[in-house]
Amino acid sequence: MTTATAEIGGARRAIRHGSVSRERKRALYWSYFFLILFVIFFLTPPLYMVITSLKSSAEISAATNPWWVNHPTLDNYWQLLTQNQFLIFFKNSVVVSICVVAVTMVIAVFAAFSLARVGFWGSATLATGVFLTYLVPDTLLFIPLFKIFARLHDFTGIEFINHWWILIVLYPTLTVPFCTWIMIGYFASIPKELDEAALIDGASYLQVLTWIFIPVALPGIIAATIFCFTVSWANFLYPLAFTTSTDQLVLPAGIVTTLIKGDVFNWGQIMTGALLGAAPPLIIYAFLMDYYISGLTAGATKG
Amino acid sequence: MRTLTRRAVLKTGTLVAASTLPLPFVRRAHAAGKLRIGFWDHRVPGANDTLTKLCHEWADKEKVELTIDYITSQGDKLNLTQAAEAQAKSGHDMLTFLAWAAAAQADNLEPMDDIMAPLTQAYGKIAPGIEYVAKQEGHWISVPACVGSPTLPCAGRIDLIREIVGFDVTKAYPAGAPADKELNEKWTWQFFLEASEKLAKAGHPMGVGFGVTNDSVSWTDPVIRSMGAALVDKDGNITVKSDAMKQALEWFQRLVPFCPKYSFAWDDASNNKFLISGEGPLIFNPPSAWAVAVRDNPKVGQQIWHFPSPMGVKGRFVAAVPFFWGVWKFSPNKSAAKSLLTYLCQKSSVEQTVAASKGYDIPPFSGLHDFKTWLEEGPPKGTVYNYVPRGDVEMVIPYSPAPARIANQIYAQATLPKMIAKCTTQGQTVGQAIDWAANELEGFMRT
Repeated sequence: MTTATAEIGGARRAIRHGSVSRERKRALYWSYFFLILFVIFFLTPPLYMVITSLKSSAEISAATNPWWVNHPTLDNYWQLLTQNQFLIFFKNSVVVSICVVAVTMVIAVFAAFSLARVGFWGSATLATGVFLTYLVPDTLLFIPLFKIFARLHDFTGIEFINHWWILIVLYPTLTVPFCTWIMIGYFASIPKELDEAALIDGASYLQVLTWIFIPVALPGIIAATIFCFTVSWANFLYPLAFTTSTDQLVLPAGIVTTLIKGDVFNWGQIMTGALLGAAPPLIIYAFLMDYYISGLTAGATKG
Repeated sequence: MRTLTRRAVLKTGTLVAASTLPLPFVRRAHAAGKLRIGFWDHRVPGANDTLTKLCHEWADKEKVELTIDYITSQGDKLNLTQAAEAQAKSGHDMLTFLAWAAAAQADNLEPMDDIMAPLTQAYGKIAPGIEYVAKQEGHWISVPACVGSPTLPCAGRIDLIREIVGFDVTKAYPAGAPADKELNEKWTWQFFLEASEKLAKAGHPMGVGFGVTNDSVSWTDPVIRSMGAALVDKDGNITVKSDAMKQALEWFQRLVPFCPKYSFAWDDASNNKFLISGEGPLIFNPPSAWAVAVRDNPKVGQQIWHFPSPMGVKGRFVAAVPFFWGVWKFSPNKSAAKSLLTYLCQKSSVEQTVAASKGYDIPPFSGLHDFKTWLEEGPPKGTVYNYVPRGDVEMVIPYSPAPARIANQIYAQATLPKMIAKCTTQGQTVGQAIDWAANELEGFMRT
């Protein structure tokens, strides 16, 4: 019988013990590295906008350092905020966005509940069809929609084109399909036991929706609201096509059409207008993000 | 069951009798109907106000209820509105069309022969290139607009060109007098190339763009045209494969090194900014750049002079980017629209709109090029006198006389600047660039 032996004093492989804190630090450094790259990439344009908004036209025209303001001025902000036009665009945008969000969420929540929960013949096909309508780009839709409103004008005598409120009718064609689809997903993830228990206790479908589904699916509703608000705040094509007069324009179309004249760009005011226009969505995102995250972490059901 | 009472019969009878009485005609304030117009949103502050005033003067006299919308060309808003209204057969009664867009809508526009005949008789001919677009299948389908229509001559720095190139543009093209014969003959595309080299070496590259926007697409056509080249002829034949086109592209190959590297990414404002900053010695542009320079960089603004494009073997051409006023066939008040157009084209009206635009507007009628606005605007005084095509300068719409549907595509797709890009920065040969263009043009033939 042979016995394998190891020589004492021979070469030994170094034993490395893992360090959790070292690994953690390494992960953190790499995370920060990529986050910094991300921040630089995505925040550089807004920074450039801020810098340009603080410059006069003369300084923008001059061949100076674009990343430095030699003679800062708030004239661009002052001129925009004291101009009726910009405030009208802002007001129109606010009213349109709020109305569109309200209309969309009412439609989407009810539609999603009926498609996801009530169940009827063809509901699955209808749900897929709702989502597929979202895939049609708005660049294909605006001319048929224009024709529809022109025909309605012929029948009713009501002038639809060139009024800001037409956007309240138009934007839901973009927002309802996607929001319905989001809500279908959220409602489908709610355990059936919840609504079955409520139904057994005598609740109607409307009560099930309002007392159980909406509170439980609140993060999804907020996500859909954010999407809906963003689409209606930032949409450019439909206001460009359907509104013409200055007092009917919303912010995106208004800034471009009134601050750019031919080949003369009022860059200072354009950047200022864009920053002021971006402020409401930013504030809403910041506010609703906290609520959304806390909703997620609170959990859908209690134990 | 309801019984018929005497009172009910009397009431009904009275109502019927009253409705059949011949009521006297009450002439309301807008007895001649309504008119809805879409004008181009003029870049010159105050120009819209003058046009509005003229329109309302007419409307008050003719008793028409007028609505005016000023539509920007930014974001293709004007084109968008035209396309949507043409499809929907609803919208404004009259719209403004830019360059080839009027010809593209020829089937939807009301003929204007009845008002163009007396206007041309009174105020002179229209430039052939503009007539080519405004007249389709033998009929005037739109009126060349007296408001907003610019050309793109040279807008150059008097001081830089004089000191570095040794060419005095104010002497060559003085205000209020004909061009200097000798200097005018010297101002050729070959001389332009030599001047570009000198200016570039002195740190002032030529401010000409090769992007895909209006300015770049427009200024390049007079270059090839004056060398005898064309992409498509008037019969729709592809003529890009020619020696003249090769020579033209070789000329561009020699020019590009003397231009800013990023000029291939320029939009319509980039060349303006380049000139206004003081870096650029010359651009091809209407007086909009000069006007902003006077406001933002007066030292540069005071040194800008507008003068004709250089000459080639086939002549001296300047790109016009005219607007046209067209009346939709579906308009319920075509007669009022035509009456308004006639009013706006009267000399007294045009003089006011030209003055309000500070000389930016070039009336299409040859007999309306003598307003004192062009002599007096400044600083420097008289800078826009030679902005108006005079002497041997021929106004052309880029890519005419190709058939409208093809020229429209060439214009919209920026075929010529892309050709130039291919044989310069993209490293292809002139032959390859021409082959590419021929392929593109064949595709346009199928539109």
